[in-house]
Amino acid sequence: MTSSSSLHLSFESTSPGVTILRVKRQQPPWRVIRGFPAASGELLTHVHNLSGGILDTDSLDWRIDVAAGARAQVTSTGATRVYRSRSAERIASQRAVVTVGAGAYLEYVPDQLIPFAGSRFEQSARVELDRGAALIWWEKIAPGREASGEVFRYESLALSFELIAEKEPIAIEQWTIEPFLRGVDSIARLGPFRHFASCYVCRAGESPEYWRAFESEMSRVADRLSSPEILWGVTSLRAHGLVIRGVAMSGRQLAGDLVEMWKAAKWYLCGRVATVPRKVH
Amino acid sequence: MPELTAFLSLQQLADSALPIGGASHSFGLESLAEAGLLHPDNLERFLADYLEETGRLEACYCFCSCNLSGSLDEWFGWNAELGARKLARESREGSAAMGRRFLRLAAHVSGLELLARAVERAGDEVHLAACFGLVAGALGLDAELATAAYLQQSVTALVSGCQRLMPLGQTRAQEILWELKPAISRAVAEAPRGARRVGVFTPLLDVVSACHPSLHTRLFMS
Repeated sequence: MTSSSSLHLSFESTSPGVTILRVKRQQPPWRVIRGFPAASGELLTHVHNLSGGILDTDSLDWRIDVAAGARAQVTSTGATRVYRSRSAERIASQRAVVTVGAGAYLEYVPDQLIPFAGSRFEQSARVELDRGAALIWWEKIAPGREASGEVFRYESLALSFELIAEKEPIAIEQWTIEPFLRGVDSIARLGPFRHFASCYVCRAGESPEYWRAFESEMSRVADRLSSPEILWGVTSLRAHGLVIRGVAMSGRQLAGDLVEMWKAAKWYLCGRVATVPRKVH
Repeated sequence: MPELTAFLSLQQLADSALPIGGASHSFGLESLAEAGLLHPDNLERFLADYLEETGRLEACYCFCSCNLSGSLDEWFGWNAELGARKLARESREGSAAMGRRFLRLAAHVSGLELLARAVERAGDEVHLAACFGLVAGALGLDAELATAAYLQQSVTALVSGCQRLMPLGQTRAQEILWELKPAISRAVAEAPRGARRVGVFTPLLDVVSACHPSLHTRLFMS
């Protein structure tokens, strides 16, 4: 038996510099209380999952629309835990559709995803940017509950991420990890590392020269933060953006460095200071 | 085209020494070797897993391009999609540069009208895997055979690059290529499923490919 649920958030600009949140739909386990004005100008919104994690019967949908000129920062209230699946047919899923209007700005900065031993999970997101729309979007993936000795003991984790700018695909990330079928420790995959993260930084309409200069600037930060325990790379997408990727031995170090990368990227992208979202529980 | 002539054409186009710039790109392997993560002892496993990830994806685009039944617009759409799936800039640009050169060369030597029309629009992004498939289809070659030949030349070029990057002898290089045949066959067998159903999980390769521009000494452009 599948448990379906949906959430629809709409961020709108009522006057220059003012963004309001309309919660158009929310069904348990989703819960959004309200938006909080952040010092950096976005409306900060915490998305709560009241069940504490994702169950193997969950089929969760969410949609975020950021209207022209609005600014939003969306985060979670804690790590996304994916619980054990009781059979091969029970695959939890989460699907997101996001639109960012002309001149609007969205930061999606959730906590890490932790797939528990035996879990099966599919996550997909499609993000569409209009001309002048800006985006910072990250994902952090842990190998499992490391403190309990659970490292790559989940059954399957599939992710699909599509980034569309001005109707053109600019980044498509699609993968499935099945640790018991294909060795994650292969050099072709994660090698000696356990944690990984991606952070997409985009603004539709900027020139390739802008992104090459941005890439060079961010590569200096990546070089400074990289060590034998953590590697960072920055590369321009085929248009309209770049992606920052990291692989690390430690999730804590990956999370800390990702914030450093985010701060540098946000400053370059829009000249605003990145404020780490305050957790409200 | 008579069968034997078509086969000989495929052999010529699948030669890793074809002058399209293949020897200039390592597609991230130089960075892996420089970081001490890739060496002769783990190269065979790396390439088998590479074929299972990136190889499978490219096989899909090569296969469907070979069987193209729609318009060139559709084919250029596939190229844009493949470009979006190649996150690392240098590797993406390498694949695109080789694709353009391959297409021009094949259009020139074959004189085929479809390829000439594709070349006219090659200012748009094209990638080697899709170009190889398109050319093979235009020559009337079998899609499975063409896809296998594409993957074979890809790994041959990578192994050849590794011979310049690490202490890898000629005999061992040939052994590795010999042992990779089953992995190529598996990737080809999955190609008809379509690229939308194929995932690629290569985060380490993506990261080190992105780091390649900042290596102190570089033999390759990617």
